[in-house]
Amino acid sequence: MNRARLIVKEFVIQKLGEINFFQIRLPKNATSILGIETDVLMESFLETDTIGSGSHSGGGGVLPDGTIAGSTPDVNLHPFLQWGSKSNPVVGKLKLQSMDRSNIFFENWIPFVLLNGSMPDMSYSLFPKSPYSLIVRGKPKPIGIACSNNIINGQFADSIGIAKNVDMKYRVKIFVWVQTTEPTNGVAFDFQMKDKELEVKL
Amino acid sequence: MNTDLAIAMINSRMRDMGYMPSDYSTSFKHCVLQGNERREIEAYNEFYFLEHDPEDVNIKSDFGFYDLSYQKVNELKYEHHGIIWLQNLSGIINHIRFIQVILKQKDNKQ
Repeated sequence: MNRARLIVKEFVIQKLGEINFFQIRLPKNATSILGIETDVLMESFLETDTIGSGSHSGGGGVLPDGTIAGSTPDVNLHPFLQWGSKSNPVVGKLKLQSMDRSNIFFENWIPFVLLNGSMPDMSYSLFPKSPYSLIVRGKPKPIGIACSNNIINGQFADSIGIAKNVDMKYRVKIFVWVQTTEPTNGVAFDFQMKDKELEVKL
Repeated sequence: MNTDLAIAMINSRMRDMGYMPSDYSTSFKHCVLQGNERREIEAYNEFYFLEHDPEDVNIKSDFGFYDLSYQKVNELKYEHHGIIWLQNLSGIINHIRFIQVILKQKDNKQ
């Protein structure tokens, strides 16, 4: 196998319902797209979501009569405690399009990984982790399409801003693993191996 | 966008996707939308290319977005496929013109 390289694309979303079109340029010697990985860095504070949260009865949120509860909404510094709520922890939808015959090859909701989210949620007894925690080891989604064209078109549409009805500012990073014509020289990446080879003995 | 540019773009895009001119046919589609009308077009095996710059319309599709009045988008797309949603944003009649590219089944080609 030839050497894989990582291309990183980053952009900022800061308006409610923003749609961002972008292009990712691949190196000239790229032969195929191996995998896609994403990451989100939330820069806005998440306000308390009282809908369905049960044990939380703070301010914020819209009451059934249409009024806003509380004059100053609470700032949620510990969002991992909030996953009794029914809110969906995704920030938006990402689509990637190759200019070749594969056309749209990636379409996914981008999850927002919570800071400190790996801490256990005590509301699910002492030790088990909350089933709502999304803290899993990130790994690229395998794609495996040939690319003769060195441009990928991308589209990202904000949804968390629409859901919360505020302007949310966050950075989205897209990691594109591409295979190049360079020799590997013994370098192999985790996702290129089979599962058993992935296990690292500590 | 104008007709010449749309036709040049169709040739280039179809060739990049592996379709020769004999693999598709083109057709002109002129949609007439009544005031505030919403319409849905199913174009799973087709491509729609906008042939002009219509105002007061919102066009969304799988990988396209076109709305001259929407301020939260950084680009507009003239190529649409998949399900295409058309919406007339004005209260009066409006027109949208597309060049429709219909892919042929290779088995049925003459």
